[in-house]
Amino acid sequence: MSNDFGDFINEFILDAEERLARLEETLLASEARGERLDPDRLQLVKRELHTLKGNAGMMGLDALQHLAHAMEDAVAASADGSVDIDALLRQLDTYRRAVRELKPRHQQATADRQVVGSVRVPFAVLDPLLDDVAEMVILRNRVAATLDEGRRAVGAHGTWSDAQMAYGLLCRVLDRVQDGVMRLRLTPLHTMFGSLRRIVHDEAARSGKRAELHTSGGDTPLDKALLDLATDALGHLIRNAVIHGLETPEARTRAGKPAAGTITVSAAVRGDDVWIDVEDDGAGIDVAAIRDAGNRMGFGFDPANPHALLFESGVSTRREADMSAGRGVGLSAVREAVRRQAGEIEVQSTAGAGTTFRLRLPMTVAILRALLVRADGESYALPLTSVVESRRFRPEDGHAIDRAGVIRWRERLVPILDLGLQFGTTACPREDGHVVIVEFGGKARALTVDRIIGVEEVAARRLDPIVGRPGGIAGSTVLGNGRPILILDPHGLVTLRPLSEAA
Amino acid sequence: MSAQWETWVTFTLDAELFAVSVESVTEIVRVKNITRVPHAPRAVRGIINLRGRVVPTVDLRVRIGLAPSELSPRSRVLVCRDGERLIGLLVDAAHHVVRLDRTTVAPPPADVMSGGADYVLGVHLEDNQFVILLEATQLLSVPDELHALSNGHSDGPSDPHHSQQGTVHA
Repeated sequence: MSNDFGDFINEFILDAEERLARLEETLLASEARGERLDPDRLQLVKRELHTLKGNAGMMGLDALQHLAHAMEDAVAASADGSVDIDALLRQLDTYRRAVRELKPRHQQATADRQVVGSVRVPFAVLDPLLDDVAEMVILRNRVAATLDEGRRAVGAHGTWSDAQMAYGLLCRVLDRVQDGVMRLRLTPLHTMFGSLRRIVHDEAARSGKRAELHTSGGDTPLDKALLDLATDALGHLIRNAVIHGLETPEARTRAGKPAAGTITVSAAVRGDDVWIDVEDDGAGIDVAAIRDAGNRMGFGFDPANPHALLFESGVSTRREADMSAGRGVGLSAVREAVRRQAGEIEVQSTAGAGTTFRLRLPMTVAILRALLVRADGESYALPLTSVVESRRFRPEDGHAIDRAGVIRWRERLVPILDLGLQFGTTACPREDGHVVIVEFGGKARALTVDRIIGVEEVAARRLDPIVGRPGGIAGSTVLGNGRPILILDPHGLVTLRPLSEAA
Repeated sequence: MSAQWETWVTFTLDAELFAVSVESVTEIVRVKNITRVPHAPRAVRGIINLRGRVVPTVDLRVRIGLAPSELSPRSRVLVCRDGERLIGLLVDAAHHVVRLDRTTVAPPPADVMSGGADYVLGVHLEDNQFVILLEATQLLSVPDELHALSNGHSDGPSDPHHSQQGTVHA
């Protein structure tokens, strides 16, 4: 397969996926209003199917061409717009699966593109750029500190003023660049609304409910990484809303409600955050069932916060689990995933009137892979890019030189930085502890820690200026258990002078 | 003069009753733990997680010159908004939301106030209850003298290891 053909295939795949999404959305929107396509929609469906068929033919993909042709026939046979939407949706799924199989494994990444205006930007290009910008921001802080020191040493000399003015301008440009790069990753939420419609449709059919999905705020922007998270989380909440939230059509009619339930997804920007509400007009959360489930599982029930237990692992208001819901792992997993990205999920419910889940996510996020370590009762995140080695601390590796400790590592003597002593009050144990070699810009430090927790992706959050500019600390993040921890700054660490117990 | 009613949140620090305007407080939260930030100003107790946002929290006792507080089940953080920023104020216990008549508030007694205490708005005396009214926005920054002995520790006075902090970057 030549490269040119590879490019064509990629273009074909992207184009087909967009058309499939459009078709699906159109079909589901019509279904919500009764089983008929209005003339405009019918025309759009015919046009899209025809283009799919033509493009598949051009690529020599006979099977796809025939499938598109079959769908076209099914729609063409209906002059009044009454089509079997379920059957068409199933055929679209088959088509989509076949299209996805066209992607050679090594080309999956290049096909992962996003539409920004009229330019397609592969994330494979965008992400390294974002990392570089993040590094520039860290370097900027370093330059600021050096300039301050220099001015103190030299005084308000003309050259310093020039340097500081240039630095000020550089900062402003860098801020704009950072903002611009973050913006490139923003994707409007409506790109995932189609998949939610599908979930409502499928789950309602499976559970004998009737449900309509209303969406608003589709132009709300969200970072691509968070969009994936939001897609999973909202999928889960919507599934829950249909299965647990909405009553059967008979029960709804008895309660004086319309037979079809309404699920509303509304998104809005609030400051730096995006709020997405998932609201249903169902029966509300059964607080007594939560209390009973909590008692069975041995969790305490707090009447002031009756819904808190919903997010605990293993608590389900359902007696029996089925394929879709009821295992009591879903919401706790959702909350953990959301918290990992510095977000939160909350719930409000009124008996008989419905339930609202609110998802709060930061609009943009800087995600980094970090080694989590523990020292003196606190956890810290070390950016993985600067970690070259971690292992048990062998006392025979350590040497004392002029009261400071060093460790022999790859024929070098590396100063020991005791994380417990440096950032806490208690030295890390030398007998049972671990050591992490951190290297940055040719300098290295051997960090001694109590324990190594593991590698995690963490969402970096800036620290408020009120905390000053503590050496060796880059920012903060929130762990899945809700605890905020500090992200260490490799730059700062390798320039810190180790504190020793003897000092 | 006709009464000017204003709503205040009262709280205790070291058995004394204080209040800030309800308008400066966005919410009051319970705290189980506060992650300390090493080498931060002494008055900064650490950071808390407020629905995914990392909020720095000022130990209000230290901020106004008292000994650091100890976390107890009654401890509360008053979350204050300053533009886009959220900053927490750690207090020993939150009491009530009360309505006070502004015209009955006496200015702070000038001869007992030190120059730096510009956060005291006045005192209110009612039913033998003495309430010191504070200006929240003034408390959301940390003056220089509280940077000097920075150690960022939650417990006890500064320890010897950290008093040499100033030389670390030299």
